[in-house]
Amino acid sequence: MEPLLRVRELRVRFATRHGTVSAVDGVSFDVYPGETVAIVGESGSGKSVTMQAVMGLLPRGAQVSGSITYRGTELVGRPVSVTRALCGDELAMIFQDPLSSLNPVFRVGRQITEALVRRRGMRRAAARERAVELMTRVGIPAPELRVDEYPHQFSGGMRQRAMIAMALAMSPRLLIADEPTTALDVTVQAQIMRLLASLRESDGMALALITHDLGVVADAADRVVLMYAGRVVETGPTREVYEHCRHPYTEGLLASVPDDADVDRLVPISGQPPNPASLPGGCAFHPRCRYAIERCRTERPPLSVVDGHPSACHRSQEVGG
Amino acid sequence: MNPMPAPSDESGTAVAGPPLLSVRDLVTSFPIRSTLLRREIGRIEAVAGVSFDLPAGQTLGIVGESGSGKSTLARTVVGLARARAGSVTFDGTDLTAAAPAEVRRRRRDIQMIFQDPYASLNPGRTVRQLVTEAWQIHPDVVPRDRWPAELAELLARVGLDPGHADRYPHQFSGGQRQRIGIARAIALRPRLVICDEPVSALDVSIQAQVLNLLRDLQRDLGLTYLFISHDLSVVRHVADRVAVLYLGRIVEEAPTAEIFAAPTHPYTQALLSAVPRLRPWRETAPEPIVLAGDIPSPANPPSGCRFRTRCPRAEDVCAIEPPALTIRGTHPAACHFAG
Repeated sequence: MEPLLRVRELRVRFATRHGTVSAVDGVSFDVYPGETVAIVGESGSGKSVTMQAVMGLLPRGAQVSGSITYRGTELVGRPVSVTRALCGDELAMIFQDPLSSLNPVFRVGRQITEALVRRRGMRRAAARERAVELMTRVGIPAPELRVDEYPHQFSGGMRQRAMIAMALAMSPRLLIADEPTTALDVTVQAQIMRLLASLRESDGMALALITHDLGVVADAADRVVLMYAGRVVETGPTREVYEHCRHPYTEGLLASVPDDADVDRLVPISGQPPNPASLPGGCAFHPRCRYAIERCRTERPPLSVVDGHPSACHRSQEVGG
Repeated sequence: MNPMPAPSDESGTAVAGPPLLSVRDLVTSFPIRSTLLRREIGRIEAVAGVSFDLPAGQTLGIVGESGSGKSTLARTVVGLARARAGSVTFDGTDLTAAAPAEVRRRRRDIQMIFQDPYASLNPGRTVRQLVTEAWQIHPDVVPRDRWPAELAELLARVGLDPGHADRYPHQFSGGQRQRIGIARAIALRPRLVICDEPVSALDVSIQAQVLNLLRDLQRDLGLTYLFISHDLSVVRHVADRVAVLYLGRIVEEAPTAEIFAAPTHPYTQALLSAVPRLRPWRETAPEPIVLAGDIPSPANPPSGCRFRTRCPRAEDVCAIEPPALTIRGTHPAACHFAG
């Protein structure tokens, strides 16, 4: 099967006052039709920048190299209009904060079907009906009334549903969700994640989920891509990675989550995530790594397969279980 | 008066003497004003009759979703919001009724750690200024000639380099800024620390560092924590007891292990079932209870039981009679059908 999205050796650099900052440094992964892939990392890991590059949402001045192909169409180095033409029809994105993505002065229903009117020439009356249908699908109660309301009249969970309805309007094959539930309460998070799972099942839509929440990943993702300091450190089927992690960063993250009631003391990762403007040499994780040896300071480990799935560590054989 | 459980329980948490903090029937409300004349046209009861006891040296976790009133509860206990009714008794003194001078003296023993350390630290002040400010206001805690030594000790205690005392907040990472916030909170040697979402804004790896620090401080300084969080996994890790708040009222309260193993209130059950597990394939979790809709507006709470509009078990009685928080089964729950 051909992947929907193929990212190869993606690099994104920004020119700043402090020189050139490399936010994404050689990232590769695939998203296949109908699957959920989680891109996981902490702040500064480059997970959001990676997906912004895919969507053509990077700020002006960002230097992008490598390759992003969507169903065989190369997007890197092509005019943004090429990506834009795919957005909506093929690709859609939802964000952490739905309020900042909704226009406060337009009715929610109108925003949901804006693309249908603009790009498919749908008439307003038909679009309103379609908006009610979409709102029904994403579980917004009383859609006939709420279609004419404004974003501020919606709660956080309902706004995120409205965003999902907007993303679904053009029936995309791939939905990119950037921290879609981070701003939401846990019961609402459960509703949204269940909704996304059901859409994936009914429409065969693929989902690229950007998140820092390892619990959400475990529940939702078929495969996981772990990022640190702009690079992929480990990737594989979620369950396999969680049970047999091969990178010290993955191991540290999993041990940092207070999940097991019997654990008296958490085992955090020492130190702080690095500043992307001044990354450590060799393996960027080595200053925080309890497995680090001299080689890690000088030689950057490549992503290579050890026991089933790829990880980027000189000592991956000794990590995990 | 709400019947409260005895401050000791069979789970082995040894408790002696009266509670350090005792909250009874606390109500905190805010006026709703008309847009034109600013007349008061109603009140939002953000905290609507909350009672609990917190023994010295223990941690009480308060969990709830947005709109549950958990932050207002914290702010009322620490004195940043005014109680409209009820009492907040700290070490034998009712802070809602005591003379202002007495309250001021007592407030020193109650400090707060905020969610966003960047918003709660003045960016124009150095760490030294931020921490010693408290000693300036309460000059009898640390004599001035001891300030540099005390500051160095305090910074080392929270895991910061004492050599960085003259840096500004923006020169620190998020986790380090929270450590500054913690240093500030413990500078006056308080007995009770209100932690309002102290790790929610931090990356996972940093969260664990700060949680461990809070635990060490509790052990070394004998601190008592009122720990507010929306993150149930975090609360499970730090709290001795947990109270679940819904629309301004406690719906269930129990020792941590008990509430996580056998929640009796339908809201607690739904809340716990919604928490994503790290390795769901290792356990046979019951089918998650997905609640319909959102938390209603506290300006217009449902009659009777406030949870009934979203409750899978609601019956006619729930709309009429508000269930009291009384022991049903092994611990207090506010549901007609709990236990």
